[in-house]
Amino acid sequence: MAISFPSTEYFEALKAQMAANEEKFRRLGFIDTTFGVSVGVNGKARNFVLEFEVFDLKNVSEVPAIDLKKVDFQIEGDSRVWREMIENIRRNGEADSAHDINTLAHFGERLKIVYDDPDGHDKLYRFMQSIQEFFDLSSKLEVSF
Amino acid sequence: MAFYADKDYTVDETVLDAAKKVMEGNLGLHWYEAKTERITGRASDPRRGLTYQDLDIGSYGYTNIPEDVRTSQSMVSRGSEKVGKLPDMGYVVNRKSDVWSDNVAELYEEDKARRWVPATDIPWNELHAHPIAPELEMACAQLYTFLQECQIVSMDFPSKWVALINQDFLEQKSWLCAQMLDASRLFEVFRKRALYGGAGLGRASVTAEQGLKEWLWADQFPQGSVSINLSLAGFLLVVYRQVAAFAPTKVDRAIMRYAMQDAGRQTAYGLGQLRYHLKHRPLEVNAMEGYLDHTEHALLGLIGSPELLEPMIIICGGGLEKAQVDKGRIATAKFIRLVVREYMERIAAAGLAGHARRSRIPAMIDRISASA
Repeated sequence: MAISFPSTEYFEALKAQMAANEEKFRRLGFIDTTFGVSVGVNGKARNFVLEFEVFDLKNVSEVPAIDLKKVDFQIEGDSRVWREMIENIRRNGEADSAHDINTLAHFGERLKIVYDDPDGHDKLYRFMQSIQEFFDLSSKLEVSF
Repeated sequence: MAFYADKDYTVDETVLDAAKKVMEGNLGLHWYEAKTERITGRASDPRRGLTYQDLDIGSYGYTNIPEDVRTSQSMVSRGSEKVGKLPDMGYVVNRKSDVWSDNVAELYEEDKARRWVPATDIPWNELHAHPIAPELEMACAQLYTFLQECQIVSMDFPSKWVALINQDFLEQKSWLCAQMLDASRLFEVFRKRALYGGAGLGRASVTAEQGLKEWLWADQFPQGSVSINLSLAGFLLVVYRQVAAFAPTKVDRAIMRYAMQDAGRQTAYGLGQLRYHLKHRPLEVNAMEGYLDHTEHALLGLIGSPELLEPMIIICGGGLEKAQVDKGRIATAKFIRLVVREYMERIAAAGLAGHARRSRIPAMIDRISASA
């Protein structure tokens, strides 16, 4: 059965996939960051907070608004961009160069990284490989939009 | 010889006799009575294992290191009993606020956990499977030549200071050693990428090297750290993100994704160190501002280096045709503005909130990027 995006169920499914692929994430090293994902849908945003600890996604929750002081950074973008990324991952098994988080967010033109403290922003890059591989696990899910 | 031990132990009968006695089974066990704390270290999370944070306990911990380390000048490990004539190591950095950052133990543990291996973690064969146009390969070779120059300085900076820093800051010294390994690994991967591609190395950059030398030879650690860990590493972090975003091959993307992780830790330390320094030494704000006024021109030497800009334009545009160069110039202009914006953000977040207004860099950058 397809999992709807954006939804807590989608991130919970990625969490389960992350646990199932523990060895891969263990090899990439600790990932200790809490970040927000904001998906714009018809002029409104659905917001999620993802808490990663050691090798796992420890907790995911949907919130009315993301407090930037309580997260390291937030990745925000329109649902069309997120959909394009997830469909690209589904097609290729992983995001290609044009569709990974770094490229989509680099100039802030498609996805945007917002943050309160540059120290939090740096965590996106400190854990980039793990974060990208986390989203690449979408290739194992059937996702509906 | 810069130092002679207090005696020649081959002719010291006392030492030889004592060793002989022990080997005959007459154990003195004087170390049993060491006046040190008895603690039991335990991993707070078994998956993470036993970390330095777990051992931040009592006299063994780092939280209670005083601002001025006055009583420890030997190589004695923090928390152990000091007896007899221990040598003075001549450490010249003995103030915690000169080197410390609240994230230093975390960064050291993270560094080891997230290690990677250029020889085996990069899909080198992809370069055979999907060769790129000669002009792109030449541009990559030049870019990776430039990045090697930057990594040499990233490696030299911690190497230059580590032996001069008091042993009580052992987590920070260990972090400096991890930084050396990071920089040597990046140097290795950049060199291997350039030489694997068949174009050889390119040309050295005078403007970059002149500026890098000025940063490397800062008189004091906090100043040098701002230049190398914050300015240089912040600049490189954006270079890596830019090249990853426009990567001509999967190999380049893989290299840059690993590189940004290593650079991200370096900027996290650079920001954390400056923040700690200014928080505990607010009177140093003016001195640090003055240092930046004098030395941040080196950032322009890096950004303005043709040995960086030209290959980046070709890589971002995808080639040397006019339309490609135009596309590359636009992307590179955005890169330049991003470098400066993030540099100013970090400096402000660390405690120099008004620096962007007095800095000469933004106006100079406007002159360069306006051409695109």
